[in-house]
Amino acid sequence: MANISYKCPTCGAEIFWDASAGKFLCKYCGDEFTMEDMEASGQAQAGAVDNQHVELHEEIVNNEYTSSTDGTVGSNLVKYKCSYCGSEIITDRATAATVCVYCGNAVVMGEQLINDFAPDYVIPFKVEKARVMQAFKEFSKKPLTPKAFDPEKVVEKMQGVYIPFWLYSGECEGYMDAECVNEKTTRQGDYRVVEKKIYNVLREGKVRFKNVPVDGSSKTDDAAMDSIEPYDYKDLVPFKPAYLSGFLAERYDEDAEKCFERAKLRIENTTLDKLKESAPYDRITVRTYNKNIKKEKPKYALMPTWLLYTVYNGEKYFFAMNGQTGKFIGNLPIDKGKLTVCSILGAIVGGFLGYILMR
Amino acid sequence: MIRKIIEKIGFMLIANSVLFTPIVAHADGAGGGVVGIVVGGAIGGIVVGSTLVSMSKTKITATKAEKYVEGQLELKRKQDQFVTTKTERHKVN
Repeated sequence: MANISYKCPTCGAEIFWDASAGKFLCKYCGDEFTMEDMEASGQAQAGAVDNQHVELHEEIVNNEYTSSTDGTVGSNLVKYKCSYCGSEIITDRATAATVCVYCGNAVVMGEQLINDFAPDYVIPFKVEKARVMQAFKEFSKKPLTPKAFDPEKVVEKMQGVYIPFWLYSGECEGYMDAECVNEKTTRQGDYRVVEKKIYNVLREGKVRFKNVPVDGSSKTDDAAMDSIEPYDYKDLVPFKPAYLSGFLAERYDEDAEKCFERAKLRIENTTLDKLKESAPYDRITVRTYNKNIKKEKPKYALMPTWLLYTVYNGEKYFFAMNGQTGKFIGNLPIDKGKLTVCSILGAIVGGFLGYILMR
Repeated sequence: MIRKIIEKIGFMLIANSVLFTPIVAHADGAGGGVVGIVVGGAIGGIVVGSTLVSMSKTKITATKAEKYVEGQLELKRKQDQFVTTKTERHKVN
C-alpha cells in the first residue's frame, strides 16, 4: 500500500486540513468536511494507521541525495514515493508527513506512525498561514531590526510542522529544610535598627503535575519549543493521521526517558517554589531540598508549530510560532549601527540624569 | 539612597576598569557631577542597549512547570521553629 493521502468525498481531489475553519477543505470544489464526515465517507481512518499495510522507506545509497526535496531539516535522509504522482520524496528519516513538491499533494508516512511511534494525541492546527505571515511582520517590527531584513520575503518559507512532544504527568514529593528570616526596620534617633527573627523551617508535601510538555525532536531548538508554550490542552484530541494532511510532521527521535530530564528539572523547581510559597517569610535560604518524582506513563502527542529557518548576512536564524495559540518567538537579527546610536543616546540621557543627581 | 548606589557603582567601576580611571582622576577636582555623568552615562547606555536587544530575543529555556500544576500543594509536614532574634543598628547620615 502506498503512503496515506486523503481525497475529497465529493470530487475526489486531494484534500487538506484547514486550520482556520478547523475542518477539511477541498480547494477544487470548495466543500468542507469535519473529521466525522471524512470517517463516515471512508476517507480518514477512524483509528491508528494499519500496521500491516504501510509503505516502507528506501535507503539512500552512495550519497545519491544530499538534501531533502520537501524542505525538512536533517541530514539522515531516506526516500519515499508519492502515492499520488509516483515522484521520489527525499526527506529526513524522522518525517511523518510531508507535501510532495512535484504534485503538491499531502503524503503521510504510515511507517512513522505505527507501533512505538503511534501518537496518543494531537492538537490540530488552528492558525492558518495568512495569519502567520501577518504575525511575523508585526513580530519583526523591533527597534533594532535591520531595514534590509524583509519579513515578507522570509515568511514565505514558513512551514507548518507537527512536532513530537512527550507529556509527563505524575507527582513530586518534596522536603525542604530552610533558614527563614522576618525583618523589621525601625528608626531610633540617628540609627536605623533592623530586627531579624530567625526560624528553622521544615516543609514536606507533594505537588501533582499534568502534561508537562518536552519536545522529542533533536532537530528543533529546545529553548524555542519551550518558549512557544503553553499549548491549550482543551484542543488535545486522540490522534488521527488525517489531521496531518497538508502539513509536515516529525516523529520523535529522542525517547521519553531521555526527554524526561528536562521535565524533571522543571517539576522539581516548581515543587520547591510551592514549598517556599507555603512559608511566609521575608527571606528563605534553603539548606536541604530532597525530591522524588513518581511519574505516570508519558503520553506522546503531536503539537502544531510554524517553523522558519532562514539566513541573514551569513548567520542562521530560527523562528517558531505556536500553531494553536499564535505565540511567536525567535531571535531577530540586530542592526549594530542602530544599537550603537541608541546606546549612545541612552548614555547621554543617563549622564545628564547622573549629573543632576550628583552635582 | 540613589546617590549612595551611584557612588558605590562608581567606585566599583573605578576599581575594576582602566576606562574610567582618567575620567575619575579629573573628577577628583571637578566634583560629583563628573562622576554622575560617567556612571549615569554607563548605566544609561547599558540599560538602553540591553533593553533593546532583549526586545529582539524572545527565546528562553523553560525552568519551571507552574502552568502544569494540578490542584494545590498537599502539605504533609509543616514545622516553624523560632531560633533567635538578631538586631543590627546602622547610623544614618
